Amino acid sequence: MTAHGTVGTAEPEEPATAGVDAGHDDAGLDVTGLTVAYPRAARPALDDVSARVPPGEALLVVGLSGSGKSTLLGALAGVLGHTLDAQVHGTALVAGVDVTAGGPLDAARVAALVQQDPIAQTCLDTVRAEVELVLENHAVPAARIPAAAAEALADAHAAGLADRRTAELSGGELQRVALAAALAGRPRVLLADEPTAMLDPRAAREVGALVGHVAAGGTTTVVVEHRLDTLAPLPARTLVLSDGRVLACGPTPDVLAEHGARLAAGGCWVPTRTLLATAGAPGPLGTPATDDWLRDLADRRGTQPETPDPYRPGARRRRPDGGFALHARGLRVRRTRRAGGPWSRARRVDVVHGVDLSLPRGRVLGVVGANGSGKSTLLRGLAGLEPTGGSVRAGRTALAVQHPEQGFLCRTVADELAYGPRRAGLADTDVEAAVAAALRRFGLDGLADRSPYRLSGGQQRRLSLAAAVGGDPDVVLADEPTFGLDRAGTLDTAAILRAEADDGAGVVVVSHDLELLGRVADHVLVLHDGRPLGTGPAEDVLADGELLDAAGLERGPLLERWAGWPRPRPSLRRLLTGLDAAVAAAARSGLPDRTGAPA
Amino acid sequence: MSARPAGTTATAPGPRGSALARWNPTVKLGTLLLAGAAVMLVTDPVTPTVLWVAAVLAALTLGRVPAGTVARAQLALAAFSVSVFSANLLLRHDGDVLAVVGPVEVTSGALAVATSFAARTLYLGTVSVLLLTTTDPVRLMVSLHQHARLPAPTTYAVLAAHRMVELLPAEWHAIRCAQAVRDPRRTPGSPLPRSPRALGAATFGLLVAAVRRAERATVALESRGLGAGPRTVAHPVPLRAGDVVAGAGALVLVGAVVLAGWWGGWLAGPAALTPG
Repeated sequence: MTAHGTVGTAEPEEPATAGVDAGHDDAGLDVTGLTVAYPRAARPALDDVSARVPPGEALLVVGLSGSGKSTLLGALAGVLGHTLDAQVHGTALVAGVDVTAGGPLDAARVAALVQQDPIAQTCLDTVRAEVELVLENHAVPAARIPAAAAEALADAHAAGLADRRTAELSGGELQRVALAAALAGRPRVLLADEPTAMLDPRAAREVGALVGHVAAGGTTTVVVEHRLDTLAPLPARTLVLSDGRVLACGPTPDVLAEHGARLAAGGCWVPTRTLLATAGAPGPLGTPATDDWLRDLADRRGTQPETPDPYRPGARRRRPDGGFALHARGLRVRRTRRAGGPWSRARRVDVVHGVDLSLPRGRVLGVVGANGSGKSTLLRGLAGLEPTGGSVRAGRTALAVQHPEQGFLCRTVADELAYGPRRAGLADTDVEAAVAAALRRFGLDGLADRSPYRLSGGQQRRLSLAAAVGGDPDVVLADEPTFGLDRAGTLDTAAILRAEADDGAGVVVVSHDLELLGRVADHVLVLHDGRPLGTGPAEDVLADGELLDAAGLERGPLLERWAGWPRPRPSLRRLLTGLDAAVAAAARSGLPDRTGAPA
Repeated sequence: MSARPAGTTATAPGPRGSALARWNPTVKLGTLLLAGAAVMLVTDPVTPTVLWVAAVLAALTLGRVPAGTVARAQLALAAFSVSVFSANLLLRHDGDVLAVVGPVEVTSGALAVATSFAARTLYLGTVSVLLLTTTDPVRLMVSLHQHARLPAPTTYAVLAAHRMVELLPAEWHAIRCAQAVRDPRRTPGSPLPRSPRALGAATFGLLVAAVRRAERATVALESRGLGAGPRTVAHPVPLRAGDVVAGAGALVLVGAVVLAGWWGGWLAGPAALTPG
């Protein structure tokens, strides 16, 4: 615990016991010496974790990918060692209930869980049934159930969804329903595991605000979240995990002030405010001094060409004759749909219409749009995987899919990387060299003999991208390549995509992360309901608030500030990469860290 | 907020608003199972044909199943039915020789049994379609919990699995696309590969995906307290005397068709399967 608060905290340090039932009826959280080991894992996922959350308070859990955040929530929900195989030692008291011993059904009496995947955690056909199930399980008298379900849906801003089928809902709508189902049982403790991770920016902000609101209310809440700018307000307390151990735990402003720099430099997502402070900004975003500092940051990177010239001689290994990597005119992509179950007539529907694209080699095209706007279908059409109309001319095309597991074909990571080169007819020695190079470049060394299905989420994503770019394709299509990655993984991916373009490929990136596109994209195409709503140079599109708004998209605080500056604005890419460089420099030159906490 | 059963609207058009949809699902399931079992020992062509026609009429009128849906189901069933018919026609030898096709003699006994089995296939298939199109899955499971004493964790696991099965075709397609695009020798626009190797890899991927989804659904159901102890039912499915009377009535009709065959002399039992 960090006891010395340097920044004023909104809440008193320990509001704790006052006004709350004492003893075992305590509605807080008490974790002591919690160690969790998964079968066949080299080291425990959680190692001697202890933490306390006073009743009614909220705890934010942050850390790098693989630091044990989701494992902690799984243990608190009682599923580890019960529903899912794991060795669990130590105790976790959730509102006085020992969930490590009692398992998920004991935990369910006092706690509710919202998971990351909106589709997989939805169990029933209709929204109403989904919420009522919880009330039935809590033995709420039948007569009171309809009103209680309506109330829970209203609390989650989902009252209008009550009569809908769950199969028709968007990810953001499903997460609101999941939150309603969680709140319906009036839990004393709410556990939320990256509830906004799979949502588009606007849905993420809405769900983040809902969870933030619940956390700020009387329900004890534990939230694991990457996207800290969307979670508003931030929970009062923060726990930092690193390699399964507690690095820090205390009031959020104190923890961020003392460890934010280390977290940001280590590759963790932190609020924009903390990121700026780490990079050495003179004040918070929006102050004139910080504006000047940011402009200066963008200018300092001015020595580099802003975008590599696609026709620059020697820039490309692939196809030195230059020209277009991808060319599409009036592209339509069709999908087969059955509206009324397996006996209904199969209909081919145009999911994407009227897309014109010209992607020169060496350029990166970003594609944005709300969930369901047809982005993934467009990529499949460009890869020649779905029936298309209009014309597409493309060189050899590789696609890194949104869910990496779907594309795996082999038993080991090395075989996975060798698959493409082997199919392309390379000699064995060349295949081996290609695999070794890919293992090194994508940080997969030491994992060559591992099954692809047993990798962490971040490792799977790197493997998927490595396999896609392995054969030096002319066109690289990447579908949400930074989904679920920490900041370090996101920046690495951005660098790889940019490097592929600099190497002569045409790159198309679908992403919800507008800052990522600010870093890598030359052009941006905005899709809405399967139709192009706008297209243009990346900075023009990202500065066009009306266009983004019409597509159901929102900028984060940093982009919003940049877009609000009068023209001529400094280059967004140089601003973002300059900020990244300043954070990295802060890491190298010793951190503004006053605690000397162990790394 | 009304007390009507989940997923069913009294005034809804189509099968989910029909008389068959309002029928207590447990009684309906039991009745249709018995009505299907009634023909298991019947081998004459007339009895299953009459029952099949009755089932189609019931689907169109009592079930308000759209004619197009009924027709498409019949077409799908016909494919299976034809193969059952041909196999029995060619492999059986009993009674008068009606025709000689190459090395095979078509006999009257074989024709009767083959027609009977083909009609039985259509009948059982139509009954299944009738059940699936007019039954709300949630209502069926609630009713099985209430009236057949099936434990709640079982019924809701079935419902979650049902939802998951609905998602599998999309998952299967996504996996086949994701795997196909890995092949550098693939021509864009060519159909997805159907080689045993490709389908095997996709099947394994689907299995992994299904296990992952099942894991998350289990965590979701358990963390929502399913199976934790005594529970209530938000929308109890009524079991009225009329439901049972309707079931008995349907079974009497089926019995009457079988009896009519016995009375008229065309009913044949399993004895017809063993020549001699």
